[in-house]
Amino acid sequence: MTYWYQRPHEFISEYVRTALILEGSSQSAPSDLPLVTNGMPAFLCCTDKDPTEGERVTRLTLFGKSVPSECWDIDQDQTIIAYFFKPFAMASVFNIPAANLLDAPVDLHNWSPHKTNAVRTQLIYAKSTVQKVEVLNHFLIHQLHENSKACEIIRTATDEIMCHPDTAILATLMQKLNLNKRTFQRIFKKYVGVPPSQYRRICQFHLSFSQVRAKEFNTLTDVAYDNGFADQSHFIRSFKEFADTTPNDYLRSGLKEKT
Amino acid sequence: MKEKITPCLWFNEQAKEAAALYCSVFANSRITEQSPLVIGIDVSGQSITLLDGGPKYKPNPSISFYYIGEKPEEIDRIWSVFSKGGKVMVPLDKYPWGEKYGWITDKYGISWQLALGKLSDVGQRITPCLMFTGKQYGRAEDAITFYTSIFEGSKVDGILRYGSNELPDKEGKVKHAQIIIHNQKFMLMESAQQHDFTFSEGVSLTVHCENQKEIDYYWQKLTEKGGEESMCGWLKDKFGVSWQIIPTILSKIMSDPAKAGKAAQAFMEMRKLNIEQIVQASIS
Repeated sequence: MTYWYQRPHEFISEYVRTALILEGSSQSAPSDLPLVTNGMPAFLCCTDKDPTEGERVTRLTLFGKSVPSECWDIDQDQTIIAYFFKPFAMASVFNIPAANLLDAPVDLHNWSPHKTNAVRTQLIYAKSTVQKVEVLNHFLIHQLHENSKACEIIRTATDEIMCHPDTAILATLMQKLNLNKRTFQRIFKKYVGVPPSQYRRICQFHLSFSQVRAKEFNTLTDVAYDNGFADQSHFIRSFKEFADTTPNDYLRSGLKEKT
Repeated sequence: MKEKITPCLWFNEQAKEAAALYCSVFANSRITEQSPLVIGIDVSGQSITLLDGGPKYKPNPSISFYYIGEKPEEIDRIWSVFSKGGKVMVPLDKYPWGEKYGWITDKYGISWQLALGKLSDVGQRITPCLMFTGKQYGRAEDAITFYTSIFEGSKVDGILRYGSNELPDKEGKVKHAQIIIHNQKFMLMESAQQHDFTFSEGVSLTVHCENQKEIDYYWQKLTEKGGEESMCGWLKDKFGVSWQIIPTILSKIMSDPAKAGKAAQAFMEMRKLNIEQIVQASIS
């Protein structure tokens, strides 16, 4: 088997981290397959060459969480092309509610059968793996183009909230994206899976927790203000909500064992 | 439009197997076309397309195929083949409307009404039969007007209505109608009984257009007044019946390995098909 990573096409690079391509061969698979895929949403395309049927597409599937390890098993005459998406990008590119993607893998044949059959046809007639990748690039660019508005909103919103998770960010974003509150909340909830306010609080906790964990602070009050909490009690409340402990307890004895 | 309207059956990986079965069971039948996703068969001069479309849609009896056999043995033979793994809708027997008649859904979900009779009675070996059930009940008459107004070479051949003593069906509703659209026979029925099926992509009708003007015409007419555009030349009319509005030249393009992929890339993005763009893409 041979494999290589490929930088995503420039038109999709804001949404796709990397593409991984595996080609099966008669030689056995190396044991050092560098798959660091846990938790990364991925679009997987598997094809094989059947002795009688010829080229076939055996899988066109979206994995909202991570790809189960058995999906990486590959035989001779098989090809796997995987696109790893940036967090929160896949739902908007394919116009699927985030909740559906987290539930179970989505077979594209159930998502848009006619379009998927057109993709299958292109893959079957592609003469090489490189051409297959071109087919899939084109498909993703088309998807992105078709859903560009939602994609742009989700990308901007998740990035900016992640960087500045203070209470003012949501109003700033709505103004920047020129969306009213209801529309913004609806689109965000659909493609991210949680309301923007909750996402913001998670990001805020995440940043403050990283700071505490790295011990990059003088006082916990500084941590609270650094991360846009109104005061220390808000910070402690957030810590309790997401880490089930207080900052002081955490510093003394780490995270609680989950019972 | 020169070519006939052809039915298209949706399969999940079994199109090839089904095509082989149909060609073995029907007299004067053969495979006419074969590409990775599509198989065309011809049964006594009538084309049927079998599409390996994936798991999403399944054929159901809302569009069945009325098959005229001229010998009792032929009906028995076909019945016994379709019985294997199939489901009987109306047992094969003698009825007021036929010496020998039965309705069976085969193991792939394709529904057949087998009738002993003379080919000249209907004029064609296989006739698609649309059954209006559930929400569509009571709309058959509207459909007759709708379809016969859209296609040239159309007329109503006869409408048999339910009487007052045929509950749950209402008096005056269409029990059985034969219409001619585009010089081809179609049957329509409605049934008030409980049915767990209605029109779907599982069985669709394909209109083969000579030029863009025809595509535009049929696309516009069939989506009118509550129809719905889908992707890649597919649409649903206001009754939920699925149609494919396809240029005649497409099957030639799709049978050329050098062109098929490029054409598919072009129509992947289309709702209504654009012939010029597909042809240009296929030779680029």
